[in-house]
Amino acid sequence: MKTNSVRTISVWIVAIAAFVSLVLSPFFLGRYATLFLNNFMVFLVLSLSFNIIYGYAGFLNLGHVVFYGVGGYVFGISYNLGAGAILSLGLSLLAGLTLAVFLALPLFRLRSGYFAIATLALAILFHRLAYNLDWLTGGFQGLIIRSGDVALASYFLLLPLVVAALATNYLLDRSGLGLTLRAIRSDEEVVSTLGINTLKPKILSFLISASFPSVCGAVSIFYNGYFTPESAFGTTTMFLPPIMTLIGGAGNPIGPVAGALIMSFTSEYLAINLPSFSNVVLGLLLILVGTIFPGGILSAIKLAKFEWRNRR
Amino acid sequence: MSFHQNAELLVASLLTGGIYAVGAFGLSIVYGTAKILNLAHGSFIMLGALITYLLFIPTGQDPLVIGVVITPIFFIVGYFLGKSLAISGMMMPSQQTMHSIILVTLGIAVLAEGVSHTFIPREFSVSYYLPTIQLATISVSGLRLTLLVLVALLTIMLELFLKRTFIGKATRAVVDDREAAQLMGVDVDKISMITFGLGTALAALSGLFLILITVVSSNVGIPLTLRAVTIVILGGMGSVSGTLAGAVLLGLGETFSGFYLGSVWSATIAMIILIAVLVARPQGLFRTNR
Repeated sequence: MKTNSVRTISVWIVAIAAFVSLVLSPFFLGRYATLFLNNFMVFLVLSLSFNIIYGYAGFLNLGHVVFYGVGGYVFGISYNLGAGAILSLGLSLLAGLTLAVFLALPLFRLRSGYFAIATLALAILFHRLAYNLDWLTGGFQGLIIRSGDVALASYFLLLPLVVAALATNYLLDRSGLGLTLRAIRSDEEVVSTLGINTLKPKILSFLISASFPSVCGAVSIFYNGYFTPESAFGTTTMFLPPIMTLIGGAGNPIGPVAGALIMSFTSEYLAINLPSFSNVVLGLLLILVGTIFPGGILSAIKLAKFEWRNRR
Repeated sequence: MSFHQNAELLVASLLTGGIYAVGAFGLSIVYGTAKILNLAHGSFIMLGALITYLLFIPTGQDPLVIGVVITPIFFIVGYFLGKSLAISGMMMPSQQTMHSIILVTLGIAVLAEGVSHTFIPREFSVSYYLPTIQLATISVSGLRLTLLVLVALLTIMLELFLKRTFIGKATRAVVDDREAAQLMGVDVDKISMITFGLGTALAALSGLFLILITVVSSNVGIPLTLRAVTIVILGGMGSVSGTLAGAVLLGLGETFSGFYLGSVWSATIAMIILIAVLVARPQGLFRTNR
């Protein structure tokens, strides 16, 4: 009991220290480091929000990127029309949520394997739309906004988003909704036989999961200054959330954080050193993730620890 | 909109549909025998097109000769892909391993896309022509007519293979009821690997046909897989005529909408058709046609 409370206190101390240093760090770090941290936080929000729909509810949403892209494009268009950053952020969230509401009912008619296929098709559909609706999105040249140097401002937009995403994951880990979702994940038929409405928690988790990338995409175009069909809906962006979440381990709040950390360093390294090989690496990572599935690195470490202890 | 234009669009849809059918049939029998939804299937169509291009440019060899060379190679590649999936315990997946297979086969597709992109980072096509043929008042390119005949021949051969040969009958038995077939002494894993090889070889052939009539780029793999999924859902699993019907339906939808809206919209239309079909018939997916 006592060691337990000591442990809880030390966890809180570490968390608060991490938060304080995160709040202060952009004032001491240079522009490059701040931008890197921004990208890291975008990755973090994407993986944590993907974890809500996949890790807890068990739906492999390969179209998570749709909300990210739509949020970004809506922000860019409304910002270019003269709306302020805050109003545009609100519009992005609204657009993402509206889209999610319209998609939820038809998508949840599908069993999980076909849910994955349908969402994959959705991602490719929006990828094509971003190219084809060039009067709206700028086509392959991309949508450019003149936001100036807003790396620091974006940092403080992303930080609360990360905290909210982490808090949502922790709440799901402990709440009744989280339990229901986990039950649905392991066997939906049994849950509905017990007289529990499975559609409501599924739709709720889908809406919560979709709201994060919508805002996140908006902040992303805000500090990058542009969005292209590739950066919004392309193969790399499309498969990043599942890769990050599954590399770390789905279904708990720590796995996606570990995954986002690994992938933000990997993608930064690739962008600088091997830009043309990024899809090759992405493919190999997907195969790896599918093979070590479903536990990810965290459970691999746990397993190794367990075996090491047993050997002694 | 004249009668001629309609007729030409109809022939174009038939051809596109026929080529899609050759590509999609592999996905259907692999799902039927191994219960693996191979999302890398369309990438073999892309690779078939790419390798045809890479062999055609330096040698100028007749594409049909290239087809004779690459088909057995793709059969072997597919056979061993099936074998490695069987060894890693992915045949007959449960709900959990289904996700694992989706990720692994998507990974193979993205890997194929990445490797191909380093070879040719742009759209490519093969300019190969045959003399034009005049049919009444419609002029049809000799190449398109040859391809239509080839697709028809392949379909008939497939039908004969499934209905008349021993392996074909065993394949249909495994599609119908894997356990029962196993109890009757069919080596179901072997049959699954053979269908993997056959499906991959057919995919490569359809890629070869495709590159002769249109441009292809390294990123068409996953969209082509999704088209194949659409076709199989429309036409039913393991049926040659059903696949052909589904493919022609998709070909009609894509060709006519592409004509009115512009060809850049054909992939968009295909995805909309897939989502609509999935949502309209969530329970009747991959129904076996007996």
